[in-house]
Amino acid sequence: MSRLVLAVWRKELLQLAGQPYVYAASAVFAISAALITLQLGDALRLGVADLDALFAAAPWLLSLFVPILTASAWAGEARAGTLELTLSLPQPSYALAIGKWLAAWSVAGLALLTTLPLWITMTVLGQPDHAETLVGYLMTFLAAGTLAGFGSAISASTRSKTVAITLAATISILALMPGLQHVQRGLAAAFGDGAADLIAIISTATHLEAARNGVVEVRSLFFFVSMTAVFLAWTALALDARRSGDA
Amino acid sequence: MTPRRYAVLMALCVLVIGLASNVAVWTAGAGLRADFTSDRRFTLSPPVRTLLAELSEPIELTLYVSEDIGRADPALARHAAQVRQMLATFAAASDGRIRVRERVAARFSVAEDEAIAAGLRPLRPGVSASTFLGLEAVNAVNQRAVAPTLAPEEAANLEAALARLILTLEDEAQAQVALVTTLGEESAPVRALAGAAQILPLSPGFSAIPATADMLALIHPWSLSAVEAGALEAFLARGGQVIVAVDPAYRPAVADVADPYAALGALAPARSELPAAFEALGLRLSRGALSPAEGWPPVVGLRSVGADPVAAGADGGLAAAAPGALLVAARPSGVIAPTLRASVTAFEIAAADALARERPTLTPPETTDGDGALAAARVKDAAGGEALVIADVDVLATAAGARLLAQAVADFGPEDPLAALPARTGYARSLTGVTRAREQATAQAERARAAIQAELDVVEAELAAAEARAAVAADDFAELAALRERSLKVRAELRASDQAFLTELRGLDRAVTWINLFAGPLLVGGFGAAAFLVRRKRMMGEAP
Repeated sequence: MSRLVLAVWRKELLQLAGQPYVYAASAVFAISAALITLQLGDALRLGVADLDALFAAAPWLLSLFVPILTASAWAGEARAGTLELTLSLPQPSYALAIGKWLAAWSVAGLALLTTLPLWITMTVLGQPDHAETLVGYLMTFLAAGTLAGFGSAISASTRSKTVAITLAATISILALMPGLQHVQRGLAAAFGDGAADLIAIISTATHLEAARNGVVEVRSLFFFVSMTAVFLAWTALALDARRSGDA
Repeated sequence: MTPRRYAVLMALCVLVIGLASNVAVWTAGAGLRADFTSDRRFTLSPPVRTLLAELSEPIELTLYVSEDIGRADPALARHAAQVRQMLATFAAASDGRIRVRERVAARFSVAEDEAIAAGLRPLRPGVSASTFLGLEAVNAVNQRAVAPTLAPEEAANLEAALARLILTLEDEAQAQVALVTTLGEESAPVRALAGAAQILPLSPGFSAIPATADMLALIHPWSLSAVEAGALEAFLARGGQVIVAVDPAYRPAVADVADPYAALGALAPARSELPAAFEALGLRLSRGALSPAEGWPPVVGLRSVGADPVAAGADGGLAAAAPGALLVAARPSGVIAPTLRASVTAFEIAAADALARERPTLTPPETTDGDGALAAARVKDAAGGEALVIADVDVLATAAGARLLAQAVADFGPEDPLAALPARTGYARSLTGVTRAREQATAQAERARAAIQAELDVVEAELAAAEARAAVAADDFAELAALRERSLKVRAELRASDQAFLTELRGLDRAVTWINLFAGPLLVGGFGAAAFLVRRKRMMGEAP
């Protein structure tokens, strides 16, 4: 199984590496991350050696960036007419789903690596807590995996790349909202504190809050892993449905 | 059922199961967390964990936060996030007995009224009257305790402050310290003491130390009257324990120190001493302050000596700006044990120079041995009274100083599980490189400014003299015009110097921003080049 997954991952990764829009989106991601950290986050004026502004903005940037990577996985193939050929291969749907998701996640990880100069800058100019920063990066990487899973699921459920990007990005951003304090306060006023807390569980921002302070919560790890598994299962089911439909 | 409907139904089922399991884990797994910060700042100390595990009744903690907390000072928003994280850590360790809720104290809102009614105070009284970050704790029988402010300066002792708030509601015995000070409640030394014990403030004119006080602290005290000094002597004579911190040059007392609490500090005297009490203890405070023989500002490292665990526990991080020196006088009875000594390179400077931050003339301190000036000592008198005397107040404002104070309270006071909680290093790690560059640029600009200003003063004095002469000698008009022209030129140079300083600072900010803006896309380009090479290699390998 792992060999199958690796083969799909390698093929998809090379395919993504051949697409100019992936580089353009990655460059925009890197520039946005630097601008947000240094200008909006005002890191230099604050004089604090941490990347909190980056990790606060990362879920928003990833919600826009990751759907661009995942849209071509299935919707792109459907549009190009190669999906039927891919699905006709004697490979289980889950292997295809995991392989393509891994490729998108890897590219998202590489995009995160383009923000490393910010970490280096902080290290040169001050003494950041490296363990705290590393936790921030790892948890953000996990969040990127969940978003990649969701993007893959949406991509497998539609034949249009545009619809896949728009839908995945919109839902990802809407799902982030309950993690915002202003929204949480509104929800608490409308439905009570308990309900607001429950709704906030779906927000990636909620699960990254502790990580921004260098604390890893098991429930957040569980969220990222379980929801990624849920979305991969959704992707595999959608592919199975297509296979059966085509058959 | 069509394959499509089956897939939709199954996907929905998987999604619902996933969400439901997350809701269950979110509630049940609240306490499962790992703190990866390098100083374990969100790992609770054993006494606090025990306190939270053995809470007798549920406690609701209400955090009041101003809506625009980051507007007055952007670093406050970051600090508020850290406070939230610490509260979440407390809640997680309490097994559900502590519930945290947050109220946004927007300006003129009901929540702000509630915060003020609860006893919260503005975080930055001199900057914004409506920036709140404080905590109210209420237990099941409606007993209340309040932390009026949770200031960033207090971050090092946040765990202790929160634990003490909870302990107040638990009616547990805490060390009680009678406090004589000219410093405000918000000053760092008083906050450090409040983190270690319950404070009983004494007002000027007190005639006795309260019987409930376990010890007495005199932190940068006013000059005691005969009656007050008598009360202190009586306290020592009955075996009381005293912490004394005096200062020959208390820098926050002068207005030009960049300190948000300068307004509070300005109420404090520049020098504090207790000559009569010191004489009774066999000590004297130096007139001047200590400074390193080389380098400026006058920061002096302090190291523990002797076997006093109070100072040894805080060793390594103790330093003070222009501390005083304790001089041992002839003493008929009692024992003086050195606790802290300044680095051997310490020299004495005039206290006025230390306060004015001017490069002073250094003279060797009046010490009898070559082991470094005495900065703190423990004195035991024949009656059993004991005092820890520290010759600098600012040292208590540092994390290590707060630790020293907490350990002294733990050593002197009754058994208080929270007295010796470790002080953290503080949350904010500063961009020292930027700060250093700013300081260098500021110093350079100030030097240039001072030189030009001196020249301007000379020119203006000459101008005034020439103008006076012009009234009697018409020939001086040409010289007067030339001097006026030179005065204008010097003023222009002064403006250019200020402008150059600002440009240098902006240049640093711009350089860092541009480097980072370009570095990201360059890395993307690097990944692209690597991918191109891999693809090319594959294609060439596949070619027949």
